[in-house]
This record gives sequence, C-alpha cells and structure tokens, in this order.
Amino acid sequence: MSLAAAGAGLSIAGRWLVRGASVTIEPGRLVALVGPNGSGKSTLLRLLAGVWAPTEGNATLDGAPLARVPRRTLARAVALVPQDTHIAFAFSVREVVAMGRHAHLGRFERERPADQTAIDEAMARADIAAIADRDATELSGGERQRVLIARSLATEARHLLLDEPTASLDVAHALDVLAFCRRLADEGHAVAVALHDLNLARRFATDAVLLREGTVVASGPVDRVLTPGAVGEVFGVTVSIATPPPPDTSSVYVFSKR
Amino acid sequence: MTRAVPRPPYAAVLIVLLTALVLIGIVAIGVGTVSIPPLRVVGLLTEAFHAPWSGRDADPELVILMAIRVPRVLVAGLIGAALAVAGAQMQGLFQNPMASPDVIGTSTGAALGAVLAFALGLAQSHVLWLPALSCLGAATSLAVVYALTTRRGRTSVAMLLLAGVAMNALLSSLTTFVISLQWVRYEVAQEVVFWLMGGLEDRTWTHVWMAAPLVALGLAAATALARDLDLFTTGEDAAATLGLDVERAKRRVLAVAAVLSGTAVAVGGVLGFVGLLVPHALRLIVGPSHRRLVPAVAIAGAIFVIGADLVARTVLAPVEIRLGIITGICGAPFFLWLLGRYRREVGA
Repeated sequence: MSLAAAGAGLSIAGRWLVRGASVTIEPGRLVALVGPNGSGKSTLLRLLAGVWAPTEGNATLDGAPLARVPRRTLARAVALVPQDTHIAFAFSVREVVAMGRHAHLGRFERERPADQTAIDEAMARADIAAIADRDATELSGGERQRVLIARSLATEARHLLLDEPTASLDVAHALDVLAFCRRLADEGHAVAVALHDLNLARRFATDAVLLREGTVVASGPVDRVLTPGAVGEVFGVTVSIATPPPPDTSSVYVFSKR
Repeated sequence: MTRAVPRPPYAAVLIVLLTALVLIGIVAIGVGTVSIPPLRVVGLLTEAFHAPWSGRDADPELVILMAIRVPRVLVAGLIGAALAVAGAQMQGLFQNPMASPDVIGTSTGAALGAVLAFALGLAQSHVLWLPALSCLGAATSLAVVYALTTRRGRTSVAMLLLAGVAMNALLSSLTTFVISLQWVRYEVAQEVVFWLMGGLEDRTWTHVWMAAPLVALGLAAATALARDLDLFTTGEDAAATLGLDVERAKRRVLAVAAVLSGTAVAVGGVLGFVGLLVPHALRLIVGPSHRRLVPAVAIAGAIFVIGADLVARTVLAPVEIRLGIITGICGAPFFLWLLGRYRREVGA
C-alpha cells in the first residue's frame, strides 16, 4: 500500500507548477512537504490526491496510475484535507463528517450502521464528538480543521494528505493537530502534510520533502533533509538547529535573511 | 460559544408542509368569481376522480373546477416547485445563498424565446409555440454560458456567475428591443409585457401536461443529485477527493436547473424571488443538506406560488394583478426580514 509520485509534474498555461517530482507516501510515515510560498507543496498534494492529472510523469496508488483508479476507489484510499476550511452553509459538524462516507454509499443509499460507526469513530478520534450537533460555520479555525480531519478519517482512507493544516491555528492547536497526525502515522496511516512551520516539521515528521520552485531539492528522513545548509539555501535565510530543553526535541532557529 | 443547530424533526416539517399544500390547494380551487366552499370542492374533486369528467352535461361548478381552477392551481404548484428547487440547486452550486435560478441566464433566455414567439405571431397560432420557444431560449442561453466558461473540461463557477450576469444583460436588452419593435402593434406589445410580468390566467390542462413531465423529471433528478451538491460546500477539490466527479456533477446540476427554470418561465412567465426566497427560508428550518432541502423546497415553492396566485386574483377582483408583481411584493419584504434575522444571528 503506497501512494507515490514518479517524476510527476504539472504545467498550466506553459508554466510548471511542479516538475519531475518523486515522492512516496508510505504507511507508518509522516512526510512533511516543506518549501517557500509557491514552491509547489499544494500542487504536489493535489497530484497525489488525483485532483489534478500530472502533465508529465505519474502519480500512482499501489503502482496503478491514479487516472486509471476508479474515482470512488481512490476516494476510499486517499483523503485530502484542503487548506481552505471555509464551509458555506450551516451544516452540522456531524453532517460534514458524514460527507466522508460519500464513496461508500450508492446514490440513493442511506448511511448503514457501519457508516454511522465510522462517522462516530472519526469524530471521537478527532476529539469533536462533543460538538457533533453544532453549526459548522460557527466553529473556530482549529475546530473546523479537526472537523475536516475527522471527515477524512471517516473515508477510512489509509493515505491522508493535509494542506497546511496549521496555517490558521495558534501554537497549541497546531501542536495538537500535528501530534494527532503523527499518532495516525504511528498507527499505520500514510500521512503527508504541507507545512510552513519548520519546527513542527522537524518535531513531528518522520520524513521531509524539501521543495523549491516546483522541484524536489531533497527528500528522506527529516533530520537529514531539514539541515541548516539545505533549509538556509532553499529559503534564503541563515539557520541553525539546536536541541533545547525539553530533551528529545530539536528546534530550527532562523536568524536573518541572507 | 457556538450553539447547537436547532432543527424541528424533518418528518414533522414535511407533514406540516404537505398539509398546508393540500389546504391552500383546496382554498385556491374554491376561490374565484364563482365561490365554492372548501368541502364542496373536496366533494366535486372526489366525484370527478371517480367518474372521469366528460366536460358535457356536467354540473356547472364541476366544469369551472375542472376546466379552469384545477389546471391553474396545478400549473402554479408545478412552477413553484420547479423554481424553488432550481433556486436551491443554484445556491448549492454557487455556494451562495443569494444565487437564484436567474443567475445563469436561463430565465432571461426563456423570456426572450417567449417574446420572439409573440413577435413572430407563433404564440397566437398555437398554444405550444410559446413554451417551445421558451425552452429553446433557456437551453441556448445555458449552452452559450457553459461553453464560454468551460476550458479543457473544467467549468469555473466564478466565471459562470459573471458570464450569467453578462448574458442576462444582453438577453434582457434583446427582449426590450424586440418589444420596442412591436410597439406599433399595440395589442401584441401589451400581451408581451403582460406575459413578462408572469401570470396564470387561461392556463389549461395542455399546460399541465406539458409542464408536469418536465418538472417531475427535474425534481427526480434534483433529488438524485442532492448528496453531490452537499459535497460542494467545502470546495471543489475536497469534493473531488471525497469521490465526486465534480465537472459531471456541475453539468448535471446546471442542466436540471435549466430544465426546471425554463419550464417554469415557459408556462408562467417571469416570476421573481421564488427561487431565491423559498430555498433560503427552508434552509433555516431543515438545514442545508440537499437531501432534506430539495423535497421540502419543492412543496414550499408550490405553496408559495399557489398562494401568490390566489392573492393575485382576489385582491383587486375582478381585475387580476400580474403574478410576478405579487411574488415580488410578497417576496422582497420577506427576504429583507430574513436578512435582518440573519444579521442578528451572526451579530453582524
């Protein structure tokens, strides 16, 4: 079971958003996609999710090109949590999570007990069972993020792709979400997260993919990819990495623009 | 602290709506120049149901009922259901509670088709020319807007809205142009302007049989597409990864909404506010899930237009007020009231 991009690229109107990217998302791993704004993190996630078809190379699920995987099969295997968590209409939290069952249900089918169980479990795991009946448009950014993560869990997909899940969250909620992602990976999910926060990447990811201008600069275990040299080079800043108290956590210190 | 979503039980809402529909239907059938009390209406309808009505040698009240009132009320109900459901679909597709069936230009296309039918003298030659040209107008308008906003199989919803605005402006100018050409033929111009204001006088079983299959088909298709529309609420990419063929869903929703609103304009003229107001109001009661919204909105839309038509023909009787004026006069203040309520709720 693995989701991969093999030399995948996407060009729109003659401009390459991602070019020749090779990434593998495997069970038990949490891959952080790191890079400056516009480096192609979101695009790469969309290629991996099958939302966009690559214009070069391939994105594959267990070796099969995503274009040839039936849409509903793909939806049961790969879930994308978008960066924009805006919800237009006043659905209840439970209704939003229940949308995750779409690919499990026929057009006129109602949710069966198994679906209800999946929805309840997803809400419990994302710690939103208490707000199940609330209006999803009136939640805080952190709650909405958790609701959409719960929805992706309700799909029972083994591959979870999250596009900047911490972008609108305060530090405490950001820590929560990433710790949760790591737990999912430890339990056997394959998780990829586009991240701006290098410390969170370094702290929670098992692997990292460093992107610049649409190309993969480095990929591999997180401590070998997010090095002062590579990060400094890609972001154009001066960086040092240290291990402050508490133990077992390393932090990235950014000093100044180069 | 956010509140829990307060919603009455869905079955109760449906029962209340259906009861209201039956009651207003019976009242609307009974009220008119010749007034027939509600119980008598029920008696006559039962009679007509058991012994198929031949049209000759019948009770004069039965004749009035079956030849004039019943088809009129049925057409009103069909139009109301069609416009309200098309409105719910457009609001769902555009993710905007201010959208209505008019936004993609199908209603104005249908209106231009109808005006051409009058101007070319076709409307006067056979009763089916008018609805036929209306439907053609709606379909053409949708096809042009869709083609303009679709690149490599992807339709941009934002572009669709803008193209719809431009299309509406173009088509209503053309409509006014055609009307101005008719100004010397005073009766034709008057007929066209009156028709554009919406109205259900002289609607017969022909109109019922023409609209009923299209509206039934549209409502069934809208029900089948209900869950697809729900998925649009968190964006197209998210919908796609949940297993929805987003582009196909858009095409289907647009086609169904065009059939529904085109049919409504074809048999009833242009009625504002039904498609905007009814889904908006019902969403406050049953919530935004289209699986619940579509059936409730269909019934409520029927109630609204049957009621509006009842008002239109009784307030200044024997003069009939144009139905489009009534839906606007009843609809706009109600909508403003809803907006006020909404503002208080969100504390804006």
